[in-house]
Amino acid sequence: MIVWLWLACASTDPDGGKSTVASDPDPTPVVEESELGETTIEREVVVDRRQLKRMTVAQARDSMQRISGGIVWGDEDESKWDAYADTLGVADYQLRVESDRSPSVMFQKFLDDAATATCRGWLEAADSSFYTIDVPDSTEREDVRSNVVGLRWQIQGKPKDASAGIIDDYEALFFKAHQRTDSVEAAWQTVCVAMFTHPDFFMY
Amino acid sequence: MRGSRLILGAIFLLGASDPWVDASTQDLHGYVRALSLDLRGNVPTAAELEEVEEAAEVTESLLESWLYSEEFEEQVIAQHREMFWNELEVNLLPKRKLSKRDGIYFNNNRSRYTRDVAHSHCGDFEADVDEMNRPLSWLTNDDGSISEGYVIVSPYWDPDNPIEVCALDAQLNLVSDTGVDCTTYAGYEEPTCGCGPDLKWCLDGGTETLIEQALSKDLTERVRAMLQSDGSYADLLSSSTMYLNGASAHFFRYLTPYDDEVYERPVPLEDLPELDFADETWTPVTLGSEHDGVLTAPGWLLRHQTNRGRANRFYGAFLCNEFIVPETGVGALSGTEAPTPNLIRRPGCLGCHARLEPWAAYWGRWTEAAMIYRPQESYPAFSEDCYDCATTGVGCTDFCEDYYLVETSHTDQRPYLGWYMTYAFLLDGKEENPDLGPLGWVETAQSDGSLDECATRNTARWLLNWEEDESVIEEWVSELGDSFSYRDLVRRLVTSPEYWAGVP
Repeated sequence: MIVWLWLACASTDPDGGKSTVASDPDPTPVVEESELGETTIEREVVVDRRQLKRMTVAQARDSMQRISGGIVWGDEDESKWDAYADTLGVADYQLRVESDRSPSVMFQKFLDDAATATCRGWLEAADSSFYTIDVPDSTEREDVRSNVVGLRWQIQGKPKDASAGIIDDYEALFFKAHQRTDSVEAAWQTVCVAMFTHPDFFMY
Repeated sequence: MRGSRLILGAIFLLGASDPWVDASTQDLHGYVRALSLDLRGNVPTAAELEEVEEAAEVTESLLESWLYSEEFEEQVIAQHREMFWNELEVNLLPKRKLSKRDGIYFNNNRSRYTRDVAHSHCGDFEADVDEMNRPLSWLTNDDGSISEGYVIVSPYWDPDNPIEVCALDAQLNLVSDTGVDCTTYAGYEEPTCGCGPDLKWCLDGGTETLIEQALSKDLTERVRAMLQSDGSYADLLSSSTMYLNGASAHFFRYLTPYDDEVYERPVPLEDLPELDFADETWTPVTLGSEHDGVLTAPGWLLRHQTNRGRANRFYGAFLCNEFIVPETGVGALSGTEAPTPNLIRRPGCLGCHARLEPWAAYWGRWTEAAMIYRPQESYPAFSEDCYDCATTGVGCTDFCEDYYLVETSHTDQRPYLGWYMTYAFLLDGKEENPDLGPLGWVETAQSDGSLDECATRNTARWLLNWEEDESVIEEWVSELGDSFSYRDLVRRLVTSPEYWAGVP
């Protein structure tokens, strides 16, 4: 009883009756900028042969449409790739005379939006080329791997090689998405977006 | 020595052989994809990919079909837009521009002459007019302006959709009440001049944009023509053919007379093609010998408005060079003397201007912030009359004051009194530059090989995105020889081991 009384008094402000907060024995650490250090973001290896480059906005737009059988991100009158051209750093030759070709966060954000819309339209389209397997809603591992290989060939232009390590990753992604959504279509949508937003698609 | 070899080896292992750094080591699928994206701006179709897989190579016929495709033309045009910067937004003819108030078109700039008060409008009611759209009655407002009402007109830019236009701006008179020609600049202040039949002597914001686009696209249509003829790449800088569509043909036929200080018809009126304003096809027009390819195209002259700017863009885009401030900075002027206006000699400026001034003079017979050619016959290099008025104190004519050096602010200008201004300070044979035109510079750059070398360098940067190898550039230039076609250049580069080293 005495212990309970002591605890009650100890946690009460005698002036206002407000509860008090005990001092934190482990205060929040202070991060100093100097701890982050410095590094160069420039590539150090000099290559006097062809180097990878990011697709232009027009190339990304046209390639996604070709691959998906004509799905336009936006509407028939105007692709959103064109509507957002200024934001994406496309040269207008007045205020900007050089297009931004870096795989910037802004590019990847819009690529993600475009991929989401394109994959949805591609999955839902009549006579879609999305599935290269006979039973689209199959969750048999063999079918899933086969369709992953087919999609990778279509989207990223990679050889139909089922033994490539990344096929395992896309397969795992499919089953994880399927497990969480209980939807085969949502799982394929996830894989499709992953392939379009992978550098294997937009760097060449 | 051994250590440096190890380092080089490590770099090779870490970077050069890594397809994420050295894309020339990609497999056949990577190659065909890059080739298709570079040459056509799109990935290969499924059928093309299967064709390549079956052949285990990119066949010559497939490559040739891509190099001769319309998509290839568009890619080359896109590359050249980065050189031309051909996009106009210049407020073409503000005095002829119609704007809208309360949904009714009117010429705001002319309202001080038509309605006696600046910015006044005709009011939102149908006008009482005669057959020439001249108002027969009107309201007089408190501020002294008049409101005459509107008439319905089918505009030339969209005849199927009639619009409401203030009657005074829609007048059809060819000649004003005071005898002034309404189709010329002189008609601007005439209250009885209007926009003429179908409003064809005026423009609105939308038509202005279409005209500006047409003038800009003339340059890229010249690139397309160069590719389609498979002629020499240098033709781009010497050809005397320009391309007009409905919008630019209308501009030169009806609108350029309204500002003859800035615009002139590229060919006589009778040689202009008769096209509907909405006609988007390109009609070739042969220009006079004063024209030097894209470098004197209206779209180039209006985009790069000063002769120094024109020279600077050519120097950067076609000769792969730029003017760079020395590391020590631009030196400050010393002494108390007024600095010389001769930038070729002025300390701090001469580092760039000793070269830039004679180069800018190649455009010396083309007006700045305009597109007019001033020929030797009408504007001789030296004028006795202008020299006399400048040195004897007799009043100079407007012609002398506008185009010739007749006043000096520095002793360095005295030797050039009476000279057409563009010749001032040119020495050592450079005084010929204005009469040679930009082609004079092009020919010099062709003869010393710098033009071909830069074309190769530019194309390699586009296709390879690489750290340049000078020896490889030299090898390509030497292989291609004189008068190569742009398609030859691209073919040479995309079939080089630097682009793709072959099946790994």
